[in-house]
Amino acid sequence: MEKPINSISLVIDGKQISVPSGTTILDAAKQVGITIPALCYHPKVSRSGACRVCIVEVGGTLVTACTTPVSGGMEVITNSPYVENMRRDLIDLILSDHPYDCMVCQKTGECELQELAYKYSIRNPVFRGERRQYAQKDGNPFIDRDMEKCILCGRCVKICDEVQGVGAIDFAYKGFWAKVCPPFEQDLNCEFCGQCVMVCPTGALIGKNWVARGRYWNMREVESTCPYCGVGCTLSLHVKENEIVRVTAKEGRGVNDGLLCVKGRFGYQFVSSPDRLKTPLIRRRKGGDLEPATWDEALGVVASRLKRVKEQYGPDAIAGLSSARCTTEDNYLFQKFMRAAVGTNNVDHCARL
Amino acid sequence: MGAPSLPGRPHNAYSIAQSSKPPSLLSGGFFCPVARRAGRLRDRTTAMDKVLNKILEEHRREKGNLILLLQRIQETYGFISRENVQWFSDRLDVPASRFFGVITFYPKFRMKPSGKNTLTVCCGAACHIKGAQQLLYASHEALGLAKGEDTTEDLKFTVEKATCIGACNIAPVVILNKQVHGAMDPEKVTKLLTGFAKEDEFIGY
Amino acid sequence: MSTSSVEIKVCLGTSGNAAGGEEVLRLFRHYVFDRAVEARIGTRCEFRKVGCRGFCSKDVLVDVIINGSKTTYQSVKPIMVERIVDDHIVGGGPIPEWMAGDEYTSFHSKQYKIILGPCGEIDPENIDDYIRMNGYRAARKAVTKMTPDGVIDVVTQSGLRGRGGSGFSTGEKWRICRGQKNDTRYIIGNVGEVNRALAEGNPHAIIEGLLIGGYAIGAQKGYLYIRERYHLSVERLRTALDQARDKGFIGKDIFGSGFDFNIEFSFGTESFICGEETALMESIEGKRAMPRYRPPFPAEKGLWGMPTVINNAETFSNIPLIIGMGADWFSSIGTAESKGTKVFTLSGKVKNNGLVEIPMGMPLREIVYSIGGGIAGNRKLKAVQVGGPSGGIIPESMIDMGLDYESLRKVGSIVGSGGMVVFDDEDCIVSVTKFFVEFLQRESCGECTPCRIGTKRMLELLIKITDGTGEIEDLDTLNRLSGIMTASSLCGLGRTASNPFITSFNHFRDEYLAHIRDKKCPAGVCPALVVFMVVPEKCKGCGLCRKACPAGAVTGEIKKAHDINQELCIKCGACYKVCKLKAIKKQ
Repeated sequence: MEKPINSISLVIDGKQISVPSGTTILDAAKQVGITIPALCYHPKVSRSGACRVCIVEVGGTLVTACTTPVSGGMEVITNSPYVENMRRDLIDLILSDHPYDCMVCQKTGECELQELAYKYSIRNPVFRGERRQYAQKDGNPFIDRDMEKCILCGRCVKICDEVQGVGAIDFAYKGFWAKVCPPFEQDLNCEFCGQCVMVCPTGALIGKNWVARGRYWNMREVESTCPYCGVGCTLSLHVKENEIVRVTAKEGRGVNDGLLCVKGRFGYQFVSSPDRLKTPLIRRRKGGDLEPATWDEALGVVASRLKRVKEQYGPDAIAGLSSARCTTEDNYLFQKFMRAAVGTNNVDHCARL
Repeated sequence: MGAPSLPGRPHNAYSIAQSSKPPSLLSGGFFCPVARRAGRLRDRTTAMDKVLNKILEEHRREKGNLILLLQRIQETYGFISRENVQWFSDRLDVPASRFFGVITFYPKFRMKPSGKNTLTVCCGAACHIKGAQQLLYASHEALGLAKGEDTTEDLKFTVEKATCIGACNIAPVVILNKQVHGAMDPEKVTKLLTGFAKEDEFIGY
Repeated sequence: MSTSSVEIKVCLGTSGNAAGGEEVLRLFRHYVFDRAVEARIGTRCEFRKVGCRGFCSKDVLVDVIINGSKTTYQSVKPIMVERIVDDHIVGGGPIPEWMAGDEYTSFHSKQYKIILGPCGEIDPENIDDYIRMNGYRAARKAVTKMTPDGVIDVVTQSGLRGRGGSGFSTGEKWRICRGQKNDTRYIIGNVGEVNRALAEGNPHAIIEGLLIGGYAIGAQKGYLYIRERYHLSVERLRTALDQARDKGFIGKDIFGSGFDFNIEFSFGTESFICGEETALMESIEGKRAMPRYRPPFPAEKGLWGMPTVINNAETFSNIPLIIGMGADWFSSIGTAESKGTKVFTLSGKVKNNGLVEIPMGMPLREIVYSIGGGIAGNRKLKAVQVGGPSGGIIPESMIDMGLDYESLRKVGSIVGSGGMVVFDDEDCIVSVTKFFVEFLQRESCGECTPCRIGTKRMLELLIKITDGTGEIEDLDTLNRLSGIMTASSLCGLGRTASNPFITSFNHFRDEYLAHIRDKKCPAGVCPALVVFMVVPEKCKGCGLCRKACPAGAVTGEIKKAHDINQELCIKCGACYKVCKLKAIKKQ
């Protein structure tokens, strides 16, 4: 990577600004509060300049803001009628190959393409013609891949390859029939981290569990920490009528910075499962059933039994195994408890395996 | 060799997909890439392995160019199969999706067996206005190919289209195997193909 | 050449081969040996395979040179060889009726063959032939006596511009690349469609140019990017490369100067998009040929992320000449802005199809009429499409324009790959445009929106028009599409994809309107808009048309006027072609 050495001053929509060399027009514009729409650009992945929506005018010609680095004395116009018309037509073109089913699409309300169509009021598209239609649906358990809605921005391909390091999907075929798909158009068979779902600007990639479970604007977002492992990713639980209907992660929050794994992203159903344990269970009679108990009672039983074993057989008869799902602090306390209170070094952790 | 036959896949995404209950996330093996990869690398050396190992050796020497690799597979087998792609993908640690992307981008790569002989009809501009389309019709007719098919059932002939092959001055052009035939017309193509099919064994140019 | 000698040159380019050149050469050898000709005439006979000399419609071309006087035979068939050997070589009397005629002379006289010249004279499979013609002298001069910057200066001064696409100054490109900090640099020679004959006829010139270029920019490695399908070109280049390596022109310590340079082949596959520089690099890297965004330009960051120069094989063929003969000599050819010559593949409805090399700025009329010999079948010239599929269509009225980068750009065309297709009044411009757009749509890589969807929509509208269901508004939509594609596409393919439509619409608006408003195809090409009918007064009932009809649509008794059943008619035009009485008319 080149180091930002000298700063370059330029004018964007009449606003003077200085940025380090190597900055793209898009990033520079962001600094002066000008948002340039872009569909293929995503800060987490490399740029490609494929969607062309971020075009801006520089000296009478159009360049893509997401790929063009600033240069000294550059005069950028992001909203001239020429640029806006061109952008409108580009969105129109994309929509001519897109199912008009926003009223039933899960992505409605948070779809970047829909937003742009709204912004440019494309009610009656100029361009019409054949749409890509695919009969085959992906049978994987987690991700609904509706490639008819795909605009081939390539964000999913890149995040899978560059961030997740998996490369489960790639561009295939060419021209109008280009398609993002797993090898040989088999069903997706990957880690199902869902990073692709996160970056998809349209409804082409959707969590299968989310469908028809509620609209974006009817949900309450609750920030939480993922209980699955010690990393402790920051989650954003989407709650509707006191039930979690989707889990996402927000960029810039927590250690995960928007990324999640399959468990955190798609494994939230246990929270409202009727099978979930809510109180400790104790077997009060030999051969009897496990019966609900209070925490005080349960902990009392554990303490008295441990004490009895220690007295009878010595502290080394007891071993402790802790869980990677606990926080570091909990694990620290646990080994302290085993060593100081119980008096044994028999303590281990599942993550060590 | 005598290695025990392992089950095809250590996990099965499809059975999970079919079950009505939400998938269990805690069943260890499913998300363990190591286990998955180990399952795919069945260590039995077959005839295919020997051939592919040789290609792999050459490929490694050439610093890994997927197009060259795929070309070599196609030269060896006439087409590129899923198994071959998976074989190389596992060994080179290149995702199979990338192979698939390259295969489907370049029209010359085939995923179905091709005929023993190849008739290429140039469909460049110069050939087009001199009737390349008619040559295509004629060749399909002569070989009894239905629309959308490109290879005869007995795998004797494959008819393919080419973008300009650079012999515009003798348009329209067809290439039979490696021999270029210029200034063609439908009759000549038919004659070329029927005359050719009569010869028992084609030795090659 | 020595005074007492017999030399037989057989044209064995792709089309020479296709016409049976190998067999002709074999027979010459056979008869000369069989009849003990050498003993009878008392001198050795030399046989030479030569590359294409461009006049491909009359292949096989054979030169018989006796004591320096050359006789050229055209359309030589194997059966004719015996007589040429007996009558001419032994008997000393040329055979006038088989000799190349005025067409051959006029085809060549207007041309200016500086790079195609050696094709057809030298044996491309023999490096000594090339060296005899001062081959590799320029490379030696550049590498041993000139500095890399000196070479770049000469190339810049010569005014040479890229022969492949946009016409960027070659010297400037090299200078930018040389100015980069990286130590590793690459140079790539793209052997495209038109360069095929160059690679077959004079492969060493390409290699020498690449070598000089490599020295100038400081590259250690050069690539020859060539389509695998061009079997003959690949073979000849491979042979040439091996020979150059044996002579020490390629490899380590070239000409004892300490400069190391190696050339490798990179086999492309059938893909028009690979003509785009960055897509070509992706292809060499073994990926999908999807163009990269610019900047950075390839000269800054190209193959494997290193500074890279890509030039077309024709550009490289010019380099040895420029270094050898000087920048002034080169810049004396051509126009003020466009220097040197340009090779075009002249094809379509002209009498003489073939490869032509003309000085930049030559009027189109001269190419079509003097070199091309006019329109075949004495029909009327309608338009010329210059620059390959994404070039523009130039109407007959503008035929006096000179061919150079600026004038072509002015009329909405490009020099491009140097394709030149001539159309006569039997060609429908809308249909032709549809063909080009169809081609471009098929070849679009699908990366950027305007090209991926734009070409598709454009094609759909053109199909609609040629099917007779077009509306006037469609023309507006097409123009709007052209605007988007030209202004906002990622690469050259998308930006030029609308050239055929824009130019044809500008010059042949009436023809578009006829398709849309009157539902008629003036040229009688578009199947949906043409009707074949028997003119009963003219029909004598010979039955030719009935036999010719593949659909069984023509009925009628012998010696009575026939009739065409319009429901069965597939509009193939077979009846129209066979009728000798012009009793079938198309509307």
